[in-house]
Amino acid sequence: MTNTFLTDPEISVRNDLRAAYQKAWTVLAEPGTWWTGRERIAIASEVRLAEHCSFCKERKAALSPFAVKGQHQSDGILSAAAVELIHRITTDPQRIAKSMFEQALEAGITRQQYVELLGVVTTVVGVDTFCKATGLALQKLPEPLPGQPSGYEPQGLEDIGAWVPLLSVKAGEREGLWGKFAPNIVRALSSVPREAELLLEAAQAEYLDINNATDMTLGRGKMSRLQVEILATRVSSLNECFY
Amino acid sequence: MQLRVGGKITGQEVNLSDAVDGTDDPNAAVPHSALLCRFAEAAVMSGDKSDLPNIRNQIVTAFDLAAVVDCAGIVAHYEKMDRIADSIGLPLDAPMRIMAGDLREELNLSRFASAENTAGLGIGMRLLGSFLRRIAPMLMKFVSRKGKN
Repeated sequence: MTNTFLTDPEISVRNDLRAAYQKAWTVLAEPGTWWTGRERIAIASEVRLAEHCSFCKERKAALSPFAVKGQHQSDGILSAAAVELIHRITTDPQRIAKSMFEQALEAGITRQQYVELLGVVTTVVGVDTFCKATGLALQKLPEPLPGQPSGYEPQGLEDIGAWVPLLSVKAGEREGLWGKFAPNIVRALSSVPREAELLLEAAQAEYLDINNATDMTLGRGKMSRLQVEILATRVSSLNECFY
Repeated sequence: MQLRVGGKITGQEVNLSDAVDGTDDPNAAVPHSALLCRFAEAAVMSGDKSDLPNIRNQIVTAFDLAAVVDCAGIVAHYEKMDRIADSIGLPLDAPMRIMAGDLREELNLSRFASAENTAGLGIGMRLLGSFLRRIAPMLMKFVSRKGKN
């Protein structure tokens, strides 16, 4: 069967990038560490619904996200707390606050489920952004696969002052996630190693070789490193991301 | 921080507000920086996609067709990473926090809600930061070499 993932006669996607995105897309449908395949696809589907959710639009326009009351347009498979998280992370990244995380925990979402949900949401945000930016059609979500989440809990988590624990640099090295050096952002999803692995594989193809990110002479294609960083800085500024 | 150190290593004086505020500076040290900023804006602001085809064509003219894919990949990457960092309250790494302490004020970054995740610097750390910034390019080269070995 012909592989049609991210193919278009007008634009050719590099093989490494296409492979990384295709892997992340396939894994979306598989049972995860803390969510089933059906739940993971429901999370992915909510990301798409959030883009057109009128409550999200109203809230985004308001001075405070709490000033507007209403209901998200949702397919109803996930809990209201999960839907709120997905829509908020997708449509209002500038105003993500600790209260959002705390409300999710109060509603019964565990820290690990939160991290995996974040991994799924950002996979879809990433691939969809890529498609829109290149002019490619959005990819159809895969059909969920049966099976139970693995419940894998890695050893060597540490508190670095973030809302969730991260794998220590040594523990992540043992898990095969990174080398001897890993900044906080590389370790961000590491309490659910499978999500961290997928994120880092995609990062190599999207951005730069993470293990050589401090080499300021490395660019991407015809772009210099400074041009790469101009793009990166502008996106982070639009998202009001301090990190 | 990467942008500033990169500028020092390559000998280009980068005006960081060009990228942070999207300023269209015709004298920008980095070629096509305004075009790259416009691409990022059009790709991120989902309500305003109308100019994207035109900007993509400009990217092709300025670089090549493959650069559209490269730019889109970088934008997609940061759309993910920004959400991840902010959704877990990720603080800046200590060395970065110290070395980039001045940027917080210079670029008024405390206006971002996510600045709360990283504590500000005391006077001692500011002084240390000032010293480290002077040797930052050398430090980055050292870390880069160490990472490769």
